[in-house]
Formats: sequence, C-alpha cells, structure tokens
Amino acid sequence: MTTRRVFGAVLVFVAAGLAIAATFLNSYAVQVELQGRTLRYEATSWVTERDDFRGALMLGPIEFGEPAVGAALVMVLATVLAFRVPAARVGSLLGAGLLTGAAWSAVTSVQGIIGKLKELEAPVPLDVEQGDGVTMLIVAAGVGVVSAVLHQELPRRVSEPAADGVVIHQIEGDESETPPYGFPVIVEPLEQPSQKEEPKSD
Amino acid sequence: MIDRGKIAVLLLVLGAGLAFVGSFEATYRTSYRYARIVVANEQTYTSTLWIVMSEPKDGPDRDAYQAMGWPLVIAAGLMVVAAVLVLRRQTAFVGRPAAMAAAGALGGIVLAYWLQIRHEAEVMSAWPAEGGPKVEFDLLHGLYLMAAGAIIGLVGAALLQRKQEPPQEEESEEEVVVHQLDSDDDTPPFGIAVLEQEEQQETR
Repeated sequence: MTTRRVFGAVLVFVAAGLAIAATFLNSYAVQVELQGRTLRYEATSWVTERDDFRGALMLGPIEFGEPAVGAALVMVLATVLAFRVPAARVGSLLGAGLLTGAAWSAVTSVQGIIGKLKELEAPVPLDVEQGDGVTMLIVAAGVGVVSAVLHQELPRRVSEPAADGVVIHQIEGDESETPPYGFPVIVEPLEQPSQKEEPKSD
Repeated sequence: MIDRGKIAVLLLVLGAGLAFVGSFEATYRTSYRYARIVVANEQTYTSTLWIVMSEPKDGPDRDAYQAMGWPLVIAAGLMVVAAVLVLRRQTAFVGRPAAMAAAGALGGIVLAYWLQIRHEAEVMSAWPAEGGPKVEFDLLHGLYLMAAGAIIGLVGAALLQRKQEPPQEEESEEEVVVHQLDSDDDTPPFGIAVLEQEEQQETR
C-alpha cells in the first residue's frame, strides 16, 4: 500500500470522526430578543436541546444524524476492509458521497427554516443561525471526499520498453576520440585478391 | 448479449432519470381538516422538491421547506456524466469511482429528505390543538420515484466496480494455428522435403 493510500485511509477515519461528532453539536439556533429577555431554540441532529418557545414555532431537529453516522460507518468499514480486500476501497467513496448528500441536505434544511420563519411575519425579528454541527458536517464531507479520492487506486502507467526510447547524449567538445557508436571502426589493410584465392594446400 | 458494463451504464442513467422526474412530482401532502358545524373545510399543501402548492389556492406557489431540488439534480447529473465517462476506455478509470460517489450523494440526499419529512409527519401528528384542524400526512409517488432512482443508481454503480475481463483479441492474433490435413505424404511438416535418397545415389 502506497503512502498516499495510507494517508487517505487515515483521513477517512478523521472525516468519519468529524461526521459523528457533528451530529452531537448544535445544528441550528433560533433566537428572539423580547422585552429584555432572550428566548432561544437549540437542537442537535438528534434532539431539541433548548426550546424557550415551548413548541409555538413548531421547530424540530434537522435529521442528518442517521445518514451521517451511516456514511461514517460505511467509510470506516470500507477502509478497514480495504487492508485485506483492495476492492473495498470504493466503499470509502460511497460513504463520502452519502456524507456530502447529507451535509448538503442539512444546509438546505437550515435555509428552509429561515424561509419558514420569515413567512411567520413575526412582530419581533427571529434570528436563525447555522450551528457548529452543520459547519463541522460540511468540513467532514470535504475531508471525506478528498480522503476517499486519495484512498483509491490510480491506473497503472504502462511503462514503455526501454529499447524503444533511445536517449542520445551529445557532449560538446572533441569527438575525435570516440566515434558516435562507441566502437571505432577497425579499418584493416586491404588484401590482394590474388592472395585471397590461393589454395590452402595441395 | 449485453455486457455487464453496459447494463450498469443503463442503470445509472435510468436511476438519474427517475430521480430527476421524481423531484418534480409531488412527494408528500399535508391536509388540514377544519371541522365546522355546517360545512367541513379542508386545506391541503402538496410539496415537491422545489415548491409547495396549496389547494384551494391561498396565494402563489412558494419555495419548498426542504428545497433539495438542486442538490438532487446535480447528483443525478453527475451520475450521467460518470456513465458517459465509463463508456470511453480512456476515461473509464475516472468514471467508475465518480459513479459510486455520485450514486452515494444521491442516496444521501434522498435518505436525508425522507428522514426529514418523516420527522415533519411526527411533528404534525403530535399537534392535536384543542378545537384545531385534524392533520393528515401522506407520502406521494415522487418520493418513491426518487428512492427507486437512488437504489437503481447504487446498483448500477456497484455493477461498474467489477473488474472487466481483458479483451482476448490480442491473444488470438499471437496464437499459432496449426492445420493438419488427413494425408501428409506429399508435404513434410516443415514444407521442404529432405532429399536423402537422391544424395545417396549420387555418392554411389
């Protein structure tokens, strides 16, 4: 296994860890300043952490916990399995794709909540902020895609036979000593044709 | 017989097409039934991945809360691009992993969407306001089309990952084909008869 693929495998684990951690962080928050009091709604991808509105805004968690954990599991299992079965490497790409889809959906959901709260036309401004959970999920998806690509096997380069590519080095200077092909042509003195045709023995 | 690679490409394109069509179809509907003494009034909201339509109309169509149309269309488009890349031998090594990543992304988007609207259904069902409307929640065919598209795309991408058998044309060119005729009297194996008898006669 090359250094690149080992580095990719390590990054896959990092991305999976980030994705799982992201599900336990705040995914978004809604805040209202009302008569000096601060009313706030906070939720992770699993549960509502704080709801000062007591359900009046009908808000709920953004459901990216299960897809993110599923994607992280696929990535980790594929990477562990790839140490024995190289074909399993493509599983890390599948997991990275799932994670990207889940992250993109989470961002879209936050945008949807912002739009939904705007429609309420509340007399007081409702501030919606994207939480650290969604931000970390985006980072995890980015790291996941890069690591999964690093983890893949590149096509082997077809090496051309050395005999075909002849490299010629030409040295400037006096070439009188060494002829172009390396061996001087031995010029033998010409023999007389009469001597050549003489019989060896009677 | 169509080979596995072509079936996989067809599945990828089919999956992308189903998901694309499904995104424009109705995915779920929420009905609010107001029970009144004289008449029963009902308001329904039907959602696609792009917009929400009300019936009867209470205004112009507005953007969907889970407006995942663009992410889904881009993932489906990547699947088609990957399928095209696989068709060319020079780019097939890029197409195969790209198909898996795109199919994964499509699967992730559809899964997240399904979980989100399932959660929305739970919130709606837990909203029995006293004297308020009765809420009904229905999943519609657009969601099933997208789910089918995602599954078919994943199957297609998985089929593409199987190693292709090397073409055997080169072997057949290099192989030596030996034809043997019934009677070998006239022509010896190497084509030239050895003239042993004539030479012996000359020496005598």
